[in-house]
This record gives sequence, structure tokens and C-alpha cells, in this order.
Amino acid sequence: MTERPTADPGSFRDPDNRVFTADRQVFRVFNRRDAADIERLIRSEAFEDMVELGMVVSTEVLEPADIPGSITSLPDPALVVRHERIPFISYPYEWSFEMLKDAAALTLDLATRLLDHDYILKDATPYNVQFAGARPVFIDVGSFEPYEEGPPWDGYNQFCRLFLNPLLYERYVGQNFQHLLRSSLDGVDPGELRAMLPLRSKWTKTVFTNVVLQDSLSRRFEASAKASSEVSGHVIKRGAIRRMIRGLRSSAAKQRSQVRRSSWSDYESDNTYDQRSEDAKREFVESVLKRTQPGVVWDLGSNTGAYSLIAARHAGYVVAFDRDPQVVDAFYTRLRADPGGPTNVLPLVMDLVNPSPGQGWGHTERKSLADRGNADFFLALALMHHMVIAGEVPIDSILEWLASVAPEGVIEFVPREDPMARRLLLRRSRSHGEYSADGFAEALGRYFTVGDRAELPNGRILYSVVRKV
Amino acid sequence: MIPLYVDPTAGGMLLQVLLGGVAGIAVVVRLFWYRIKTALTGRGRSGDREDR
Repeated sequence: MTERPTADPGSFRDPDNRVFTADRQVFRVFNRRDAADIERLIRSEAFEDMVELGMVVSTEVLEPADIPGSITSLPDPALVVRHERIPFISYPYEWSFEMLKDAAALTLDLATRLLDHDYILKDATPYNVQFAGARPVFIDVGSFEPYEEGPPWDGYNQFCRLFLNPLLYERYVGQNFQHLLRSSLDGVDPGELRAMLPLRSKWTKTVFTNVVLQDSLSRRFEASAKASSEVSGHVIKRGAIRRMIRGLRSSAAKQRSQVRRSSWSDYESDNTYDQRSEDAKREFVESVLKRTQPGVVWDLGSNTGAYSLIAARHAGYVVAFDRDPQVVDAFYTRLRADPGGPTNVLPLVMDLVNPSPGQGWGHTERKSLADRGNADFFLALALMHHMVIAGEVPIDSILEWLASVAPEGVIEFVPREDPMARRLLLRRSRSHGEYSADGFAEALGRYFTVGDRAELPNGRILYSVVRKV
Repeated sequence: MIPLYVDPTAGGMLLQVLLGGVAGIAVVVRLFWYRIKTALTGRGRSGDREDR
């Protein structure tokens, strides 16, 4: 079966190649004259190594006979490659600090490798990186181009805006970077960051060079035609570019998040679960997953990821969403540190009461969460009381949304007498009188058919549910 | 005022020239000297800052 190829709305900026999806496969179509250069690289041993090491997404050049008819009908396809499909597309404003750091390291390592083989990255944006599980992989093979000595590296300013500056912001301002990248797809301008950074940071080599000096030069010469002509007439040696990339690599790697530890970081050891209730909950969740064997699971409000790890044993792929970047960071770091751990869990920062919107040109360049497909199964454990009491979303709206996320799942109801729910209810102007076990069960029946139901020793109730069609 | 005809990457480009070695430092020094000169004499300004 062939369908019309759909151009990926996020790939239009580069006129030389575009991404299409057809028949659930991902194709990249090069229509430029130097497609031959790209083909030579893709067929080289160096490229094979990069794929083998997991740095670059697996890519194969299609012979004319293997190209689906729907793709050959595009104007002038000089070269068509097929990419391995990334299970779930995510964006830098949904990554944690260490995820952005790892994506930065990958980008620069790749740039260095390419330079060894007379190629270069023509840009340096985290949107060229995706996560397959907790492993970053470079997806934009169209960013590779033959290197010619002379001009400065085009990716430098972009690397600063989208990788280095958000990291420096979190390190020296002590606030999470995600909201900056979510509101500006071009990242953080050096001048903008300079105004926010404390004075003490400005004496460090990394900040002085990449923020203060870059901004000063920019302010003085951004409108100077003479500066542009001087730059274009000047030759920068390959060694200098290599040195700069190495410097950026170590600058990014040594940054540490200085955001205050959140109350959630201690949740697993500090929550009100007694051992008996916790065991019962684990057993319930695991038995439902074992029976269902779902393809894609969304763990909504994953916290430290304990239940994502259980899901990973029975599901094809797990996306673990949590609104707290520190908690996501801890889970990601834990996954990365365990070489024998699951490779099918992707932790992401997402406030489910205010999920990622569609952004960029035509609202489609970066997709909203809703536009990125659904799951086969959801976990909504200890989530409802947050959304209802703290998020002030009506129970019915939440259930309707859950039914749109996946056809089945597990929902945990936390009664209002529960210490955690009481803590949320404290100092709320609304009493949330409708939030009761009976009211919840009644609402649940409007959207789902309840399978198993278990009341835990601590009073919380677990439901396994299938949505009503 | 939002400058429309500016190159936001100019600073990054010049920084790379500057860090590239002695010849690069000379380029940046020359640019600063040019700016001082045009500021003092008032000449060359229209040529250098067209379109602002």
C-alpha cells in the first residue's frame, strides 16, 4: 500500500533536502547538485562507524528500484535515503539538563569526526538530535557538507544559543532552562543571557568568551558591512575550528545544574506509601501490563520512573512524562548510568496541565504533544489529585483526555483523606467537594469500562480500564 | 528600535576570527580602529552603517 508522502513540517528550512514520511517509514530526499558528496559520505566507512556507535540514525541509500513510487514523483529527487524511525519525537524544551548536555556533546563529537573526514556540520541545533530511549542520536544527515578551509564555523552562534546558553543559564541563574527554549525556538541570544548572568560568572573563561565577548562584538559590528567583508576575506585554519569545538565540548560538559533540589526529588523515599501498599501497587500494575503487552506506554506523571521501569519489561516503548525537570534529570541519569538497563524508556519534561503547544511556522514546525500520536496504554498513577486539586481541571475533562491518550490503562485514585491529597487541599480556596471516591467511580464509568479494581492498604484505589468507544 | 538589517551571527563570526590567531586579532583591531576613525572624522559612517 502506498500513500501520498507527507512532508515533515519541521524540515522546510533547508532547501537542499526534505524529510517525508510514507507508509510509516521516514525518507530524506536530497535534490541538490552535490547530493553526490552526501552519498559518498553515507557509503563511507566513517559514516558506518558513526551509525555503529549510535551517534547517527541508521540510514540507507535507496537504489532507484527500491524507492517508493510516491517519493519518485517528487520534483528532482537526486538521492533518497531511508532512516530508522525514532519511536517518539521530542524537543529540547522537553529535555532535562543532562539530556541537553548529552545532545551537545554528541553534536560536537560528530562535528569533530566529520572534520577528520573533510566534512562539517553546517548547523548545530538540538532539533537535529532525537532521543531513542535515553540515548541521543543525530538525525539530520542533511546537515553534513564537504568542508572547505576558510570561513568561520556556521554552527557556532547557533550552538551557543541553543545548547551552551541554556546550560549556562541553569548553572549561573539557578533556574530551569526549558521555558526559555519553549518560548524561543532560536534559543537564547548572548546579549539576553549576559543581562541575566551574575557578575561572578562573567570572569569564567566560558562565559567571558562565548557570552560577553561574543555579545560585545555583535553589538559593535552586527550592522557593519566592513566587518562582514573582513570576515569573508579572512582564512580560519581547520586547526582553529577544531580547537574551538574542543573548547565548547569541555565548556558544555563541565556545567552542572544549580537549580534548587525540588520536593519531588525525594518523593520515592519520602512519600506516604507503606511497604505493603507499595508492593500491592507494583503487583497490580505489573499484572495488567503483563497481560496487555502494549506497544507504546505513556507514564503520565512518572516521578522517579519506578513504574516506567516496570512497564519497560512488558511494553515496546515507554515515554515517561513528568513536569519536574529535576526529577526527569534524575531518572535520565539513572538510565544512562546503567549499561544493562532498559533501552526503551524515554524520560521527558512535560506539564500535562499545560503540554507542549504546536509552534513555529504554521504552528506545525514543532508539534504539540497531541499531534505526536497516541499511546497504546497509559499509566495515570497518583496523577488525578494533582490535576484536579492543584491543576483545577474537572475530573470529566481529565478522563476524557485520558481516553484520547490510549485505549487502556491504569488509573490510581487518591482519596481526599490521603495525607498527600490533604497537603494539596490545604490553603485552596475551592473545597473540591466533587472529589470523592464515589464521584470518581461514577465519572470513570462515563468514559471507561473498569476491569480490575484494587483498594490498597493505604486507602488508594487502582483501576485497570478500557475506554468505551 | 529593532534593527532589521543586521547579522545576528556577526559577533560569533568575529569571535572565531579573533580566536583564530594573530592575523585574526589584527583584523579585529583594524575594525575597532576604523570605528574610532570614522567616529572622529564623521566620514565613512554612511558606508558602514547603511540601512539602519
